[in-house]
Amino acid sequence: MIFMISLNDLNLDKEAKVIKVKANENIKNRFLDIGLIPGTIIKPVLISPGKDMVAYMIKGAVIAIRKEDTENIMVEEL
Amino acid sequence: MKIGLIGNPNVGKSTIFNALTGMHQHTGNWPGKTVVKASGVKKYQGKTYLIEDLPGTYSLKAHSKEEEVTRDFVHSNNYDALIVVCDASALERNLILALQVLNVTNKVILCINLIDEAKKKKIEINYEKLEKILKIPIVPVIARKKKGLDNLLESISKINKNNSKSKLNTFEISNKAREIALEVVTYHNKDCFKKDRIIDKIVTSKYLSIPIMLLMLLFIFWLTIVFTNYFSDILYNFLFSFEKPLLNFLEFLHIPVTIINMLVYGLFRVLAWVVSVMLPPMAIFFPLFTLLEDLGYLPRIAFCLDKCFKKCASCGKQALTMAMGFGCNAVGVTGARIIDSPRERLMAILTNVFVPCNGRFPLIISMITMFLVTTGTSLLKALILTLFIVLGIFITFVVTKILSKTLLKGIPSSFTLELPSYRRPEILKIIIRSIFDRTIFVLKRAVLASIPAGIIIWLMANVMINGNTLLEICSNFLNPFAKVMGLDGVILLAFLLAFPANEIVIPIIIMSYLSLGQLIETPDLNVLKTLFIENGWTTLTAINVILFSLIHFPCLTTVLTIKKETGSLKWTFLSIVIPTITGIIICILSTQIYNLVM
Repeated sequence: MIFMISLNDLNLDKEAKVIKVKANENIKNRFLDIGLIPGTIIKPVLISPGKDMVAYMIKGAVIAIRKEDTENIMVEEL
Repeated sequence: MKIGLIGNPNVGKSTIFNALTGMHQHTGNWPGKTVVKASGVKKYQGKTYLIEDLPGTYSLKAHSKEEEVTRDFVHSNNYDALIVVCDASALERNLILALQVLNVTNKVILCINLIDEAKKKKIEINYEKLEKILKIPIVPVIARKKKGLDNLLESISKINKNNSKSKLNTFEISNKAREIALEVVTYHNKDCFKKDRIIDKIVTSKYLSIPIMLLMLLFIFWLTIVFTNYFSDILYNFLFSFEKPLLNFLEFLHIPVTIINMLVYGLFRVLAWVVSVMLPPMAIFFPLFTLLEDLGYLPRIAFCLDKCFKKCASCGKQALTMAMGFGCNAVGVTGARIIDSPRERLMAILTNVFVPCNGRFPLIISMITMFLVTTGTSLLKALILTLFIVLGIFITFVVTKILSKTLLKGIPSSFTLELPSYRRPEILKIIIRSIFDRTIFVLKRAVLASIPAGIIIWLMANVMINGNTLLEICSNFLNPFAKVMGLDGVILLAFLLAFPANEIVIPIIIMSYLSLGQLIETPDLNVLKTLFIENGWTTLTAINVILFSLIHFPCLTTVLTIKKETGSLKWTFLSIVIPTITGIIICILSTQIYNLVM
C-alpha cells in the first residue's frame, strides 16, 4: 500500500518519489523535459517569498514551479 | 566541418563557443542568455571548423521560440557533429536531452562541462563507463579555464558513424538517463548543495528578499555615481587639453574661421561633453551588472517577483527580460523569447522600455547630479536614482496589468524556472569584456549618431523661413504642448530627433541651445548646468526630463527588433504609442503636483 500525497503537501527538505503526474499537456511536457516523471526523486528546497512558487531539487538541478501546476503531482514520502 | 553546440540552458555552451572561436558571445549564469544562433570559425590542425552556438533547451520538443531554433538545427542533419554539452553536477537531467539527440543522429559527442564545480561538490563521474554505455566520445572540460577543449575537436574523428540511432520513447529515455546516472555518478557528499541553499534561503526569504534586491541595486548605482563623479572631470579635462592643439592645427591648415568655430566649438566640444558625461557611468555600471548575472542571482529575482507578475497575469521570467533591458532594450525584447506563452511574451516586449537601458543611464545620472542633488553625497544620488528605477518597475507592473485586462486578456500560464548554482564570477574578464563589447559599442553609437544630429541641428538653425530659423519654428511649435509636460520645445524636439539613439538626447539639447544663441566661453562641465538654467530649466524640468527619458517611445533599434520579434505592425505601433502616452501622462501629473506643492 502506497501512501500518496500531493506534492504541494510535502514539507520542505523532505524527499519523495513521484508516483503520478496529472497536468495539462503543455506543462506535462515541460515536466518530462526536466525529468519530472513517475519514479523520479524530488525534494522541495525553497519557497518563494510570495509562497506561490516552490523550488525543487530534481536530478541534481533546482527548478522552481508554480504551486497550481504541482497540485496534481502525487508523491510518496521517503 | 560544421559543428553544433547543444545542451540544457546554462551549461556553458556559449563559454565553450567563445573559448573555441575567440569570439565574445555574451555569457551569464542564468538560463536563456542565448536566444539566437551564433556562428564562429575555429582553425585547428589545418582544419577549419564552423561552430554554431545554439539556444539552450531541455528537450527537442520545442515549447518556446528560442527552442525551435535548436530543434530545427538538430533535425536538419546539416552538420558534421553535434556536441551535446552537459553540466557535470546535473548529469542525469542533461542525459535526457543527450538521449533524445541520439534518437535523431549518431554524430554526437558528449561534452561534460563544469567538472571543477562538480569536483568541489564531491561528485565523481566515471567517464570510461559512460563512454562504454553510450558508445559515443565523452570529453570532460572546464570551459572557463579552457581545459580539454582541444580534445573536443580531436574527438570528432572518433565519432562512430556506424552506430545505429536509438529508438527510445520519452519514458524510456527518462528511465535510461536515471539508470546511467546511477551507474556512473557517485555523490561523495550528500550535502553538496548546502552552501547554495543557505544563500538561497536568505535572498528569497519573506522579509529580506526585496530589501536585498533594492540594496543590491542601490549599491551598484552608488558605485556607478562615485566612479562617475571622479572620472567625468578627469576625462573632460583630458579631452579638452586637445582643444587648443586642434584649433592651432586647423588654423595652420588655413581653414576659414567660421568652419573652425563650427568644428571646434560646435562638434568637438559637444562630443567631449558627450564622452565625459556618458563614458564613466557606462564603463562601471555594465561590468557591475554583469557581475550579478555571472553570480547567478538574476533567476532568484525572477523567483521572488513571480507573485507580483502573476498578479499581472504574467510570469517571473519577465524579470529576466527586464534585467536584460538594463543593458539594451533591444536585447531585452529578443530575450523575451524565453517566455513560452505568446501573450506573456508580448507583454514583456511591450513593457521592456520602462527599464532604462545603458544609453539612458548617463542622462538620468547627470540630471540628478546637476539639478536634484547638487550638494548631497553620492549615496543620496544613488537613492534618488533607485527611486526612479523602482518607479519604472512599478509602471511596468501597472501597464502589464492594464494590458492583461484589455488588449492581452488571459490567465497566467505555467512555466518552470531553473535556479542555477552560484558561480564565482571572473571579475577581471568581465570588466575587460564589458568595456570592450558594450561600453565602446554604445559610446560609438552615441558619437556616430551625434554627428549627423549635429549637422541636422546646424541646418535647422541656419535654414530661415519668414525670418525665423527652422529650429525656432519647430521648437516653438512643440513649446505649448511641452510646457504642459513641464518641458520645453527644444527638449521634446531632442527626444524626437534622438529616436535613432537614446544616447543623444542631451547632446541635441546642448547643440540646440548653443545654436539658439548662447555661446559658452569657458570649457567646464559645470557650465552645462548654467546653459540649461539660462534656457529656463528648473528642478521640475530636470525631473520631467528624467521621467520622460524613463518612459517614452523605444529607440529605433528596439522598434525594429520589436517588429522582427512580433512580426506585427499593430504591436510595433502599440509598443511606441503605449509608453509615449504613459510618459506624457506621468510628466503632466508631475508638473501639476510640483506646481501644487512648490
